[in-house]
Amino acid sequence: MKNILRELRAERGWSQADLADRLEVSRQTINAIETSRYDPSLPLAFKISRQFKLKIEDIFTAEKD
Amino acid sequence: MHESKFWDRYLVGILGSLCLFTLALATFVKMDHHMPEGILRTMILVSPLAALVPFMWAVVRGVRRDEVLHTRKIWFRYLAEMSAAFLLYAVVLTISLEVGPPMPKGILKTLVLVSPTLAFLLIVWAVVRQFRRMDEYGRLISLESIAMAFGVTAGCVVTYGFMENAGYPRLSMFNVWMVMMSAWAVIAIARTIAGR
Repeated sequence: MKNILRELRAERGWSQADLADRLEVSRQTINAIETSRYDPSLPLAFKISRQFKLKIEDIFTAEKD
Repeated sequence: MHESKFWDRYLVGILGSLCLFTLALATFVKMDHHMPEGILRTMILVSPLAALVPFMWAVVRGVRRDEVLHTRKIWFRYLAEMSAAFLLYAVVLTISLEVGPPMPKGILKTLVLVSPTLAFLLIVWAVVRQFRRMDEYGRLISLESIAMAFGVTAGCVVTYGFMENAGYPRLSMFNVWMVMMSAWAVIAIARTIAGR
């Protein structure tokens, strides 16, 4: 999965730690998602989408098979 | 959190703990044959537990530096629960080692000797509670590291089993625990560095 989390975060001027606090996860988790080392679970993906007021598919896109 | 602080956070604590553990263990082994039974001997016997102090100190320092309030909260709760459980374990172990051995053989003696296990279950409970508090990625990484440590331990134990068949000395089962914890620490540190 690819995502635009880093861009969305930068637009709002939030650090990884700021976003981690808002989502109640660790900074390492945000870093792993942003670098595509980890795909979040559906509940966390929904939490992220609510935080940015966007649809999940606007933030996460599947990479080509 | 600054990445360069990593070594400062954990390695100093782990090395400090190992040094203290080795020192305490060596002191005990040295005095084992000469010391009469008594509270002093028992205190020396449980002294390797003190090795947890520098480790906890390093973890507390690391947690205090974490910028994420949520992470700080869950780790401090864990440290509080873990410290209380360990303190109780040390107290029960000391009493058990002091009171148990001179007792006449029987069910009561067995119960006194295994009583530290009940306190140990509280430590396990604190760990389980922390796993449930951690976020999904942290849980995944931690459980993967434990699984790898399990594999390394299995490999070491089986290999040494073959060596025992060839005449190497029989070792205490306690060594399995030491191998597993060391493997877990090394794997967790290596993965944390690689992850960055």
